Amino acid sequence: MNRILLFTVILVLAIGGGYLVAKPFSGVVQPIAFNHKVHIDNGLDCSACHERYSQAAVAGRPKLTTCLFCHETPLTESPEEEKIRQYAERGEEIPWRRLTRLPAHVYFSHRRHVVLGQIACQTCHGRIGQSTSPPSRPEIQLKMNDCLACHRQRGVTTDCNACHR
Amino acid sequence: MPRWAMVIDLDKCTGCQACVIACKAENNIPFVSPEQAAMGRTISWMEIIPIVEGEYPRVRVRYIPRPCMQCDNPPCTKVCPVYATFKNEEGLVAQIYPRCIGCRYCTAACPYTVKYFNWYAPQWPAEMRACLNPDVSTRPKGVVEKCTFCHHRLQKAKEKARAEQRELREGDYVPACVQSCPAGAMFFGDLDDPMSTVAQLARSARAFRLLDDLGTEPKVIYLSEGEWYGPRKRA
Repeated sequence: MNRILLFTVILVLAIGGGYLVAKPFSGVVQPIAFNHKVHIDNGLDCSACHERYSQAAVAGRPKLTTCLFCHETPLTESPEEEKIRQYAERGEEIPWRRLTRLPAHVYFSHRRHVVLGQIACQTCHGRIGQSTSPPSRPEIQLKMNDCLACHRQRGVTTDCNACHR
Repeated sequence: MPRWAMVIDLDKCTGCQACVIACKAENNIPFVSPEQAAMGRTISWMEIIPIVEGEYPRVRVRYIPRPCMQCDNPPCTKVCPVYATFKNEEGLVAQIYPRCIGCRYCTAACPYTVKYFNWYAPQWPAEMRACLNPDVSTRPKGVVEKCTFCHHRLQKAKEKARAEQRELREGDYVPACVQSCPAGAMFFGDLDDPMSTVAQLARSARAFRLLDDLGTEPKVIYLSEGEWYGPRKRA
């Protein structure tokens, strides 16, 4: 009896421990430890870097040239800032990773919501502008009910076909 | 609110299948292997149905392009237990893939056989994966799909019109099949606008609808000279 109990305990520990060790990190890791807050505090708007929000469905991640516009010469002694110029020397774009993702069967347009609907970025993106290091997952996990609640509140379409594709 | 409709002039249609290919490219329709095709699992939102008339040597073939009829009184939506397929306020019969449970009641209910079931996850050759249309989601295994009148184009057209502070104009929103038709046999627009091309053509004496006697009130209107009884053989 004791042996069976011992065996069970070892088995549970082995499986649980193995899971914890092998569990992949599911968050997003950015190539540069970007500090949103510093940029906002220096008077930049979201649109300064996410410049496609007013013309396209996606707001876009900034191109290297956008960064170099200010960071061509060092502004600080941060090694993270130095990485920008290292990318520039290698002639590579900065591989920013996408943080907020929607399922492929949803059509969401930034132009429609931010420009035509006058909705603030923070409504969906939370306080990303106040973050001092890149978050590994979005502050607000958007669900369809969040979309629908806002659509109902503003009296706009709740037709499935308006967003699903 | 517009009521979207399509007019297909069978006297102009040459049966070239451009609409079929345009549809497949636009809507990320997966390939089906010959074995699966033999089991009747081909997916073709737009299909050219050949109708052979007469006997050799006096044979005549008619072609009839068949998208989803987007019925005003759709039989498919009435049997859906989960509201995955429904008629929206603009008359489009929608198919919402993440809601679909794959029961295939709608597939059985559709008299035009426009609904297709995904028997397995869609596969594309590696070279073609970059060619998928990002505006249309690929369907997972176990859901039903059908022609949507390219409603993803409507989503974009509406937004563009709003951004330009104007109403939607005729020609702003046109499905891929209509756009591709080299014979100019297909028309698309608002049936409720009496001045639109489709409304005027729908009033023509040549106009008829497929299986009209079922009371499904299709919004795909065919034009043909003389009598036409659809897929039935003429005496």
